[in-house]
Amino acid sequence: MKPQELDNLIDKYWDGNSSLEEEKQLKNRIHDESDIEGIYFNYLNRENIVPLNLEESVWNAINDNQNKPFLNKQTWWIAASIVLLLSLTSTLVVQKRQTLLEQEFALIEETLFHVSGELNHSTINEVLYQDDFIVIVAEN
Amino acid sequence: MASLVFPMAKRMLRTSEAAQDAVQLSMLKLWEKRNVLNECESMKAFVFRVVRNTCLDEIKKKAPMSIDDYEKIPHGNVVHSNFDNEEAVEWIIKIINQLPKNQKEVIQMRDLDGLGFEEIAEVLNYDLPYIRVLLSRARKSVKKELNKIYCYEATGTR
Repeated sequence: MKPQELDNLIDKYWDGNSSLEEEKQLKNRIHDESDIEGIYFNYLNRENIVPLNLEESVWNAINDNQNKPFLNKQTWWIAASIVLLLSLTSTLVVQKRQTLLEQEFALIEETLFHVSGELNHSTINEVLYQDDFIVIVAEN
Repeated sequence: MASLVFPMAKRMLRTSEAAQDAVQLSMLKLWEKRNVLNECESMKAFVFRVVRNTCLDEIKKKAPMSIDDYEKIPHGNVVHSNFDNEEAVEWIIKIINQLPKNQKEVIQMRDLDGLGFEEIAEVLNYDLPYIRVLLSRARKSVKKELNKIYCYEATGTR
């Protein structure tokens, strides 16, 4: 590239009209720090330094993520705790329901016993009417 | 691709370690979305946007300050061991940080990340002509400020 062409390209760059390819050329060509372009392009080149192991560390992270088990240890513990809690709760609910049924049954039994007792204690004082099918009595 | 986005992550998060973590996290996100990547108009712009958003999330997590506050903090890499003119680096970082926020973002994406106009427009959600104007203004400001500093140093007058 002729010096005049280079100067034109530099002007184009500072005006913001250069292409990426032209900018790449400038960054690779100009390193002389006696000009502001050299100072600026050296700064740009320096800022783009990346760690050598960057790509490798990214791939390792992706691989680790791929090989990670579906659920980790902590998640398993949480899941197991939830299952245990649910089973305990359901057992307690069943037990409570059974107790309630037993109590209800006892109450009915007691009531029936009481009613039947009352019936047995009642006495027939007088037969008011009687035929082959019906008997009408007077009770206390 | 990780190498392309690393400088931006480092500019935003300020340390190599944090930048590397952010790049890794972004690449994992992209890996999980690999089936839909083909549908992107510009994959490069999409990748830059994912990394930028990851870095912004990290900044939010680490410091309870708004992104606007973050923008006011001077950003540049702290270690300058591979460049002879340390003072020049300081000056350039200072000049870029003094630019208006939108000019600063555009000049960094173009000059440091090597993104095309269309890609910058997609990452920042600006119109293409506006990106060109911002870049032109930003570069002219940088040139003017560098001329002020180095012409003064060379001639002893300003």
